[in-house]
Amino acid sequence: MQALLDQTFAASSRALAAVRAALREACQQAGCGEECAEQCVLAVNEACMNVIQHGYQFADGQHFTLRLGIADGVLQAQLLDNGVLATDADLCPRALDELRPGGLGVLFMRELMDQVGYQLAPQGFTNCLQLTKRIY
Amino acid sequence: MEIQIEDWPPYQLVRLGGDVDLHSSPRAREAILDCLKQKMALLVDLSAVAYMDSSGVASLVEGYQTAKKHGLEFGLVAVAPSAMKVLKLARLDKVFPMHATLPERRAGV
Repeated sequence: MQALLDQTFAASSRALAAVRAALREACQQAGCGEECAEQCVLAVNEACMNVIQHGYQFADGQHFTLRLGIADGVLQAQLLDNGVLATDADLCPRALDELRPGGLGVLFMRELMDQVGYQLAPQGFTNCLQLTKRIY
Repeated sequence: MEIQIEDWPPYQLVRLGGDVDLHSSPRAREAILDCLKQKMALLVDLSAVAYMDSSGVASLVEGYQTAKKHGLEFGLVAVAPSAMKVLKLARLDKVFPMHATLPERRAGV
């Protein structure tokens, strides 16, 4: 696995622009086309939003770590946090025939990436959400 | 994110620009809902939006639903490609009334 990004960010909505900038750069480094890079950025941004909103419930002073790597043409993002314990059951997209604000983040992640799921978190973290996408 | 609010008779016009994300979308939501409190039809110009996430989409959905509840017209104008992709992903591109360009101002309405 070739590492492209390993960075810790404040779990704050203010940090999301920096998260996206770091992701865009890493995706370009991985060889993603513009469209593919934007899809990965949107999906991982949604995952980070979930950590800020639901994992940490907007609490101050919290952090998450974002790792991105590529192996055999598959881009792998791992989002590590110490928020509320989450499982794959939290990754069910809502029905789209119901028009209401919110609940679209999981749908975006699932639509834009090939696989989304929780992995065993490494020591020092509660959650490890992994998102993968074949880019070539 | 930049927000501009204009009178555009017979509409109120909210222009959003830049990144409409979790950090900025509460301001977009507030601007949209405040305009609807004036009981006028509302257009949201998305031509200058560079990035929109699900929280931005949620602000538009809430505006649309509030307008509908009060019998007011609500539409999106000149949706930037970046925002259109997200609306399509949410299957909302056929739900929101869309205008390719701003309708002509009708002074005195």
